[in-house]
Amino acid sequence: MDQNFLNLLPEQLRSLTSDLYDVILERSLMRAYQNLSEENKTKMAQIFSSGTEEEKINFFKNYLGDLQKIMIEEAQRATKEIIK
Amino acid sequence: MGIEQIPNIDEKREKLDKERAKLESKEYISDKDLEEIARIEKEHKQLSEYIKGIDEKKEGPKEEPKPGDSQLVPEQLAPEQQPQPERTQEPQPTQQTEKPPEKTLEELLEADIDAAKKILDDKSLDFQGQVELLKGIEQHLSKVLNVSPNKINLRQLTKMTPEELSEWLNEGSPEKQLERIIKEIEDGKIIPGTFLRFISTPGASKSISKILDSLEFQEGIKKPENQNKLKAVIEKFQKFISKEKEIPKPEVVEKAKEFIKSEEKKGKESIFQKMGGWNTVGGIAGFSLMMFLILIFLGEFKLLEKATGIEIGGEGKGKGKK
Repeated sequence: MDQNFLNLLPEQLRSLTSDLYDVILERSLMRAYQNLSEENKTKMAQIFSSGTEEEKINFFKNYLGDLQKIMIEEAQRATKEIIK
Repeated sequence: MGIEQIPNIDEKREKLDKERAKLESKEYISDKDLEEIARIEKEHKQLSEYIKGIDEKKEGPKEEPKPGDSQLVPEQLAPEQQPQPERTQEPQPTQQTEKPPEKTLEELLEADIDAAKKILDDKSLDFQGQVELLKGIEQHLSKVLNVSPNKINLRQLTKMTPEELSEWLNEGSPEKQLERIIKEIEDGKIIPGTFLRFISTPGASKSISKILDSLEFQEGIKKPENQNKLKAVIEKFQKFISKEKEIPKPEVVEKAKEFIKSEEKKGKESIFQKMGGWNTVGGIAGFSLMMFLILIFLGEFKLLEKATGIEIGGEGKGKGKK
């Protein structure tokens, strides 16, 4: 993540944005995980416990390819929940 | 784009050659080794076809081969079959100074995207193979457009219509796109696609940095009314964050999150960057989300209009209206 970018934000917003990113990333991964079949859930557990970096990347590519879009949707949903 | 312009392909070929030599030097070659050799040969062939395809696209139709001529490109020939330079057939001086007509940016973009589409559609290529090839295209495109390869999102570009590509290249300046996004934020109807397209546009992060660095934003955020609002919004967000953190998550989700975060911290050394700056997940996802959140915050503080000069709900943009 581009830390310089964050440095332009006021202090309070900087740490908040970082924490929020953490939560949204988790929510997005959770949503993507729930959409997986039982077989792929097991596969994901195996790969993320003992797989190589390449296997992890391959898993993202093959099964969680829409993560970026999901993250934007989750960010939207979260900000709506919070601000409204 | 010729072979010499795609260093990764040469590297890939070299790697394949080494792999094959290693397998062939074994005393006992197993069935698995034979399969591996066949895979290497196949990849070699695909690389050659891929390069040939791009060269043909850029150079236009080639002369019909004469009977007996080899259909293979020189790189595919064995050393003894390599064409030898013939002094008597050297081109005339006038031919040496002639340059092929320069391709327009649109043509170059189109050729690169066609090549990327072929690679992405090729199910026989493994992920690493695709990444290596796409990396070459990204580097070429980044030189042509004079931007960082990390700003080129080939996956998204391949999904665009010719009109969208043309807009991306000519009219889809980050400022224009930002204007659209700001209007979407103000209307409360953000379309993820608009934002994802924006972040794949060269100069997107700069345009947001410019807003954050503007006097209007820096001073606007310090105003007492905005400070109070900021405090209230932060409290709401903090409440949301603590509530979310209490929700139990499967261990694997935690691990996947930690993997993405730890790779992001590595910056240029991360596997996301090493694998061609290919904007799949991780790095770019975190970065784009950050930009997205910043815009949402700015929208909430009604500072976007002031900082960008974009008149929301009005008749467009006016930099003087601050």
